[in-house]
Amino acid sequence: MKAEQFEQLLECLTGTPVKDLSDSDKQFLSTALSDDSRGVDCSQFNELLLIANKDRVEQLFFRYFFCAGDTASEPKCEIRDIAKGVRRFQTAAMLCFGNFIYAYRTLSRLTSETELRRELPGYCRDPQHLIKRFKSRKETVLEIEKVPRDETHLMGYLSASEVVAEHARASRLHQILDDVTGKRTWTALDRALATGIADPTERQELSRLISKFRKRTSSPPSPDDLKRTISESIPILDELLGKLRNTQVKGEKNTDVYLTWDHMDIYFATSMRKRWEYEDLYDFVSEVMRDKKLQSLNPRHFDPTQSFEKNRIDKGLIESLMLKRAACTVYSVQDTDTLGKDSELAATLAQGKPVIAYAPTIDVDTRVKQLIGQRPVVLKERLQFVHVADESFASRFAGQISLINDFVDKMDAFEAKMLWKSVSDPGAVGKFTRENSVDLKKFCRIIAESEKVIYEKRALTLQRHHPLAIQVNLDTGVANGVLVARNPKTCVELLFRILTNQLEFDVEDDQQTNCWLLVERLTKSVFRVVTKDRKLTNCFWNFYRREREYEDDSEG
Amino acid sequence: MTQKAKSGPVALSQKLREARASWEHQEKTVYTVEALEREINERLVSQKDSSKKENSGD
Repeated sequence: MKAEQFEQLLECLTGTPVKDLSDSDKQFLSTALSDDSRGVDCSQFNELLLIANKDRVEQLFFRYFFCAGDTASEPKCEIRDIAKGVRRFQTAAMLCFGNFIYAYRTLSRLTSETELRRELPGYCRDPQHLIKRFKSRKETVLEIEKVPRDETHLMGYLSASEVVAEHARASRLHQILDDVTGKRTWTALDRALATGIADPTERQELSRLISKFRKRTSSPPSPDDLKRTISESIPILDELLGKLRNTQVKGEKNTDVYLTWDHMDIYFATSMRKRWEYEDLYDFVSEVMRDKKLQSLNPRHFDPTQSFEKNRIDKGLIESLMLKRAACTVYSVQDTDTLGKDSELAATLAQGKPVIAYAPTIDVDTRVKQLIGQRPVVLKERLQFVHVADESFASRFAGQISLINDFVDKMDAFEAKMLWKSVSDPGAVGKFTRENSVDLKKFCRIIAESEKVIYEKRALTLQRHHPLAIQVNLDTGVANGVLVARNPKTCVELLFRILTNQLEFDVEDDQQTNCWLLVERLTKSVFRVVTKDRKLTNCFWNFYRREREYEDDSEG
Repeated sequence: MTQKAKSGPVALSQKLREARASWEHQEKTVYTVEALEREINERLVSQKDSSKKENSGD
């Protein structure tokens, strides 16, 4: 090893440059480092440090970072392996200290392993011990009662309000039809509506419902036909309302169960409004959590599709508690940022815990197959989302705008005949799918291609551009970055590695950002950073570390 | 409006904007079935019942 190379390594180790070396110092170093295969012990390493005007290290530090696993009483490190030791130290320093100067100053002076473990809590935990601990956990006393996939959306306000409103409208319309005196004609029904419903918006809603019904068939239907149809719909809407009540009760009980669990490992952060958002998340959580590798640890997770809380203040408190208890958060990137889930991402990072941001890689052909067969109203909603989230939508699909417009009209025409938003008619949807198969395929491909662009861009933003993708642990000052996963399998692997302390890293000296980056190997995500800006470093640590030391002293 | 203009990106934006606006308007996260029922049933009462309610000072 050349003396200059050693000087650079010492700068990485201590966080400050090697200064004022005389020619003779440099000559000493060149001679001492000339044989790469030469083993040096702690005492000899300290002599090299002193030649370079750097502070000595304790035996514990030398053994831990430079002779990993060597149990000899006087362990040695070959000259060629000094760089590896420095990288090990940098990794630990970036993970637990967020800078090199304080890390070196603190760790190099420690003399007991207990102290070392205390200073490096996230670095020293033994993976095998953690796995054993997970496997020896007992089952929960209480388990949640699973809400089926196709009922999870009932936990959301939009679906619930739709079900309740349509149920009430059907019942009221049935009553008004009963109350029509004399001959039951459309005009008589209109008159009954005018006096029977006080609220103009609701009157309009019921008129729209009647108009939909009248357009449904080629032969003109009568008010008696409407009454028959409403009578047939009421039991279906009754059943749905019953399901809604049950789901809410189940969700509330599940929330209580989550609160009582003695362990909580994974929190899934998301924002859900539409039915398909609930179902997409349900599918994702299920795929991740049923993976055999993760299952072997039997981890506990909080699934928001299974939990309900009607009080907005309690809901916020419950989520905050889950964020405090869970070891990590999985954040669904989805198509838009929302205050709720973004706050959860920030709260996790501010506690120094890892966040996995899941932005799915879209396989267009597979996605087209998934989209075909969905109810037109859902396809239109998905189009709305990509249209808003994909800034280049209009220019990319400029040649297909007519097709999109015409197809939206077809979907609107289909939905105009559907009496209820909350009740789907699989037969009618199937017929629509068959009759419009060519255009439907083209339309779904447009949505899929746009989704692909959106998720690629959002993943790149989180991985490379967004300043808030790296946030500071408010307790320690350590800057934490988000791990960006592009498929459920990677999420599983990351979760396993996080829970068992087996994440792997590369240390990168990044010229572009003028920072040291700790890059997670599986996803190439920036997990920790250390800035090289001296002014910022000095100001930052004067307030973070010094204040912490001051607080510690005050407590003592 | 020409056929071409009707099927252009502006027409599409208008169609989608209208639907999205209604979705944004409805964004809430908490509810009870009872509260939702109360809300809708209040809107569905007859004019006669509505005036009775107003006169009773409820």
